[in-house]
Amino acid sequence: MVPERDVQSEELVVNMGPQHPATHGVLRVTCKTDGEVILDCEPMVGNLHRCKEKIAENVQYWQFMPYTDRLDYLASMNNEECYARAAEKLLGIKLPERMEYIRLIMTEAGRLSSHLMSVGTYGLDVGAITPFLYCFREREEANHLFEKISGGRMLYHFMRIGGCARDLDDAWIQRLLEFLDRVESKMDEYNTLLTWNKMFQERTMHVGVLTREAALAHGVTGPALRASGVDWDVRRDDPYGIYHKFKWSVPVADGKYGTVGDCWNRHWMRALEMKESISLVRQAIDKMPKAGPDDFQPVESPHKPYLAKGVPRTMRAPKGAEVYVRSENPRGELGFYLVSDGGTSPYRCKIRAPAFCNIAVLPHITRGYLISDLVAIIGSIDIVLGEVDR
Amino acid sequence: MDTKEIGALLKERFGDDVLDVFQDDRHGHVRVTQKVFVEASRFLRDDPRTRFEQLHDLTAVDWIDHFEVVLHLCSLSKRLNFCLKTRTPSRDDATCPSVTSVWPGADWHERETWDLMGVRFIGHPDLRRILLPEDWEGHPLRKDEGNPLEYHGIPGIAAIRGAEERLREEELANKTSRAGGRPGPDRAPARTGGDA
Repeated sequence: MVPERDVQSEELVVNMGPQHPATHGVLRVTCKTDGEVILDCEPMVGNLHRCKEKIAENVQYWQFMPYTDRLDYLASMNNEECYARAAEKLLGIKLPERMEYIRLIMTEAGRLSSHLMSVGTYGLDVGAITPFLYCFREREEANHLFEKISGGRMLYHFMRIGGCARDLDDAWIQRLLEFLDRVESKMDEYNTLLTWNKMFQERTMHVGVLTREAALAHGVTGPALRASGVDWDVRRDDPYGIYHKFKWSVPVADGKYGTVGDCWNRHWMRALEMKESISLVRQAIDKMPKAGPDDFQPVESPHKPYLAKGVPRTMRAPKGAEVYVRSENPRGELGFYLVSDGGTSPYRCKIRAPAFCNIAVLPHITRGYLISDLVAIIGSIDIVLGEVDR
Repeated sequence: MDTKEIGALLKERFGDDVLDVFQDDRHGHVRVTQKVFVEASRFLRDDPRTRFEQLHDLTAVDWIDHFEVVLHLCSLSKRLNFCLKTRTPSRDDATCPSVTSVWPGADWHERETWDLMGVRFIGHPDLRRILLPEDWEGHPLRKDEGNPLEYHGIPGIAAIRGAEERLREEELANKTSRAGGRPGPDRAPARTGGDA
């Protein structure tokens, strides 16, 4: 906060973006400023709008899967998993246990890769270039791993309704474990470079404070909600898949460092969540069962997906059926609301994007701070415009 | 507590204004009249048995003769999920009371629903388009919405398809004039229709 001054200047409206590197895409923020102080601001979204929900109504259930990759393109695995689960619930498909394990491994590895990106670019936003390069070194390896299994570096199209593109083989799992060891050993390096860096703390601590009440009222989810001191994680509190079988801790800001709900705590939650994801992947690999004889359809060629037995070729949901499924994505809770009219494509598909709800809170947490803080606040919310605009 | 029990709570408080309590293994919802929609929302948020402090999602579905506004609520302290619905009076009168006074987070969701589906939320402080440009005409998620022909000189998909067909005809005409004659029935183009 800036102390009151005697000099009064004129109010000025400043546009930030949509081609501003610190807005993580094509976000435009209109700020009403007095000198360097932000009096009010408004995020203008929609530059990347592609009408995904309309597309979903015009393609079959399975055809929409690649489009979900393009929502939050830094965590494509997590989007795919959520959509696959929504469609499976609508169509009444049950998954074999091994498939649940594959999904958990892939989504948690996806979360790790996504958080590596957010932690690195957050450093870049506030002027620290080195951690960005360090994080990208590891993220590049994660991309290679995903490319090896799915064929895509960022847009995987790995999950299928009732299965996935291919089974995980032992060689790949070995590589994944080695990668996890390497990332874990580097984790302290990131924290020394960035999290405990005095300059970084000066820029982010006590800045952009989102109170617990405001976070709940505005529907903020994910690391931003936990940074505001709300102990809530869908994976633990409303478990889906096989999360109930594992033990891990959910990091919540406790006010030991900085203020609860400030930018630093939002960053810190992500740094802690990376460790939990690593632990979850390791536990899942340990316990992963072999496929039963009647679990999966025979894979006739390497180009055919690895599907559970009983997944129909033509997917048709009962008339009037609807589902709402949500999952804990790296950026918050992603939700899919699907309504069927008995046809082969959804009658209505609504995507509840976490970044869309999180960025809506921006005006409430920027008032009274400086323009340079705005960059730090946007970075700490960690938005992906592909998801905001859909 | 499941949807049926919450439905019973609402029935106890609002009586006949609770129109429908439904639950199956996929999804459950309670539908109320517009008259008590905001009141029921506030009741669900404040009642110590439910405490839905978070509005998870707000959207609308186009059912041709009316729109259905769908709210997904989440209670973090009670670990509950719930779906509340209400219908607009008719397709032409696509209005619904706004719940921004109950959950401030409904602001952007309602703007988006107005923008894409054309449901007007009465009592919303600033109901403008959010994802589409201000001067866009129509609401694309409505079932009767066609493809726009053009927007500020940018041709839409319908216009592009028309232009492609015209181009194909011209090409054909050029070919036939070079060949020095009109196309007979045997020279008719093999490639017709499709999007090329």
